[in-house]
Amino acid sequence: MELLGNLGMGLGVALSLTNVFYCFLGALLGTLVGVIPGVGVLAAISMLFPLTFTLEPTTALIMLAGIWYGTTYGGSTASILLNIPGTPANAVTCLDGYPMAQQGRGGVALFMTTVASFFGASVGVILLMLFTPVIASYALKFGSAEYFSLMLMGLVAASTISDGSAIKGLAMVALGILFGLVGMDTQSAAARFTFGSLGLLDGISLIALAMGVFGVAEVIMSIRRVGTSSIDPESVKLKAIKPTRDDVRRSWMPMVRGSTMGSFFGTLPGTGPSIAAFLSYAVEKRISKTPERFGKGAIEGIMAPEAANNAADQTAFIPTLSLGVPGSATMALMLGALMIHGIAPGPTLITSQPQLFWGLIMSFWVGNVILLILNIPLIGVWVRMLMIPYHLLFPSVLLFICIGAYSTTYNALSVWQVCFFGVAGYAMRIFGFPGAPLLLGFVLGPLMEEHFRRAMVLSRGDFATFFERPVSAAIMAITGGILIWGIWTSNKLRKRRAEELARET
Amino acid sequence: MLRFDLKDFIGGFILFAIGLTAAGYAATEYSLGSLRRMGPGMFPVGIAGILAGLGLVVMVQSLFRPPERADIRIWSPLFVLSSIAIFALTIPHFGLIPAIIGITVVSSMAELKVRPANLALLCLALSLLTPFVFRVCLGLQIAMFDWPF
Amino acid sequence: MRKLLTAAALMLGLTQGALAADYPSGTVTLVVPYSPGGNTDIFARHLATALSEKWGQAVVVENKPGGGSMVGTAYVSQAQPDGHTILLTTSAFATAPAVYKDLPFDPVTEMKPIGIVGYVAYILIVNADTGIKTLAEFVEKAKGSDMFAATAGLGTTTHFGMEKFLSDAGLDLDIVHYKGGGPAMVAVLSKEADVFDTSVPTAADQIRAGKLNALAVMDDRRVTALPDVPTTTEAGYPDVQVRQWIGLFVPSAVPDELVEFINTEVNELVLSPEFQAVVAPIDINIETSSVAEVNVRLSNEMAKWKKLAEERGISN
Repeated sequence: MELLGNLGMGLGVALSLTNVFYCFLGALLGTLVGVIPGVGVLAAISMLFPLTFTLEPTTALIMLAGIWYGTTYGGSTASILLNIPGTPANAVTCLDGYPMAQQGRGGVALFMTTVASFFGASVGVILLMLFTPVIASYALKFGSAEYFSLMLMGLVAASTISDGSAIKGLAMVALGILFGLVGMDTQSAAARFTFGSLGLLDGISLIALAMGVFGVAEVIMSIRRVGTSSIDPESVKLKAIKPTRDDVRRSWMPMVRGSTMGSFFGTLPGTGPSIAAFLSYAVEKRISKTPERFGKGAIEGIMAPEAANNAADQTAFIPTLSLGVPGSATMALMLGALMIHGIAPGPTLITSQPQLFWGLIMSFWVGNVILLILNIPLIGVWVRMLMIPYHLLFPSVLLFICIGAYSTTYNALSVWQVCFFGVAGYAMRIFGFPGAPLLLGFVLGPLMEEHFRRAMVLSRGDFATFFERPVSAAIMAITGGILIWGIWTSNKLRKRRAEELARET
Repeated sequence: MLRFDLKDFIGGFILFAIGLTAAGYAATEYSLGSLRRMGPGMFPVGIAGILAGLGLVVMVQSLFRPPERADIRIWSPLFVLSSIAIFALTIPHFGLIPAIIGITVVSSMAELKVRPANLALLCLALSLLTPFVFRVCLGLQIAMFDWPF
Repeated sequence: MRKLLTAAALMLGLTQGALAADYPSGTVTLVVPYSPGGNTDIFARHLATALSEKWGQAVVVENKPGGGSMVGTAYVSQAQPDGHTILLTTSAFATAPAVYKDLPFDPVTEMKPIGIVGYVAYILIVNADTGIKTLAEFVEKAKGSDMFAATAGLGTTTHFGMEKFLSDAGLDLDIVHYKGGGPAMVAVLSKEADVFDTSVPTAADQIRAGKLNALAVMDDRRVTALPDVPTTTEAGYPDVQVRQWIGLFVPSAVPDELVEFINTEVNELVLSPEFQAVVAPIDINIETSSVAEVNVRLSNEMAKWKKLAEERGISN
């Protein structure tokens, strides 16, 4: 077995004292960065990038990767306890995680998301281990037409991601897309909606948008409302993390589905953990027999996205390492760490640098086990955060958000963006517009436009391209199915509600 | 007493207005191009148009819905948002520590209750903790103090 | 009177001399208008390390990505003209202004070059499954066909390189813009696009793996990483010369004396064997030139791209 030999060699590399140390360091820093709202993984890795000049390439990559997937582990903490996402990829975890914490089940939620993170990451690493070359070649089947169809399917699937009116949700998606279009248009170099501002040429900062709409608005809503006295002291004890049998039963399939979706989106350059988390939540809500539980503390609503974003974190390495194509700015930094040492990533990397490739992959196991061991005892610490009086907590949260936004660009404009989206987020709360679809539209919009326009160039202006290419046609068919099913189930739901209402009166 | 949902009506109107303005702006400022080679204007015009349409639907729907009480506060949001603005104004000219103190003091006022001792302690704690986390652990390149004089 | 003039000239010379002698009197910032991790960024970081050793002052790299390098360029144009803020950018400095119409600053009057210190060669690549091995074969097949030519984005060096090649070869392919060199290369791998001009380090491994065929190096010199690939000069297109160079710029108010000083210092440093060894892994070739040479070369290049943009109807 060649594979076993490779895995053994990789494990040898990953378990060397230096590599375990840097893996631990990366995982620890990642957790820290994830827990603090506002500090993004890109900013954190950029700050630590200079370290990689002096480290061995394998060690450097192991550390940077540890930060990358560690962030996603830690990111759910603030989502659950404070209703403020630690990173944009954890925004959707707020929807059900925070209600769980309010019900005194914060410990359970933190424990179960750690399990989901580990599960999702494991699925991702197994795929990475066994199928990297296969998956890489299959990712090549995705052209612009397929990407567009996929994004469209995502938006349709996610239109009911939040409670309340689907029209309002769709309106927020559209608004999110508009915000996503701010900046320089790559296809024509026109500066759109920048109004002469240089800083806006690079677009609106995702961190600023997420932190403004979710973080600042949440702080405003909670001030003078949240008291520590309302928290049951029993619920912050470590033994309160034990899930019920029902929790476990409900968690299995969402974890499996979330990991599958996460693995898929991770391999596609350009998409990533945020999109994966949103869409797996949307799927869970759609296929659930009791969709009305979502948004009120349904455990499925935290398990699926947390499994998905961690799986996507791992499979994002597939195109990066085997095609030499980074799927995101963070992955570009990982490639940079290789290029410094003269390693050109590409299809021959696995055979020309087996030590690096297999060492890195096995380090993912080491890192994820470290994160599991690290995070479970930390739950007790985090939950106790709820005991801190809110009047001490919220200025700190605001401060971290501002520093986080500032650290992505070193430009005060990013902090102003936080302020702007804080206003927008507060207005949205007042008028009852959901934040999650806005964020999804913001992430998907620019991709949709880019791929739609390119698909039209490639098909020479023929819409039929979306239905003639087999993969795209299949996705379009599924999209149509989701639409029809959505209308059918919502009709059924409305009838049921009308009947209930009739019975009550 | 209103008989329709004014809150949704205003919310819908705001979206309608944003959509219409953005569509108009994009249509006049950026070229639309052709389907085969779309210009920078086409997608924004389409999306902004959809936004305006959805805003209109929200407005119409609100007319058939009983009113809901809006939860609006003035002072807390004002203090929170000005504290962020103060951070944005302070950090490029004075450095991190003054920005920390600025945001902490102003945002604390959002409680509409001043606790001087608590506040002083919090400022001190954050001024020590933040540089540790960001400078020592993450190597962030921000000057602690950056007096312009 | 003459005495006075001489004295004034002397004083001027002295102050300028003193300026160069004092330099750098504080932290020097190298602004890179790209995200960290790329070739240019890595080069900048190596240069920063070497310069701070040489000067005994902190030299730091600051990334200001966005707008096809124009965000960072504009940032430096507004910086203090004391030579402590230096832009380290690529040939996008010369290509982007030819297509970006609403730039909030004028790179020609507001910036001036210190020097060009290195370059990355570009190669034309096609999918290996096409069986096309030489540039001549490609041109023959592409004539009158419905092929697509990929670029890494409007106004990038790859875009202008491609336009120049298409123009000289008399080809009329449809241009497709991708968001960066990686996705454009994937497009060629997946046969969505047919040809792309990319930097050697990006594609070298795919070429060695037999997935891509390299048609020609767009230069007059072959590259060490791919010694068998002929140049465009050899293939009969001597004017298709596209180098993604790396250059240093400062705001135009920086005194010439200081620009000369930095030019000499940097040239001396990059020519040192130690520095060349450090940057060898990232496939950047070192070149140096005087300030006067760079000025001529830059204005030639900018005029050339501007003319090409007009001829080919590239604009937004």
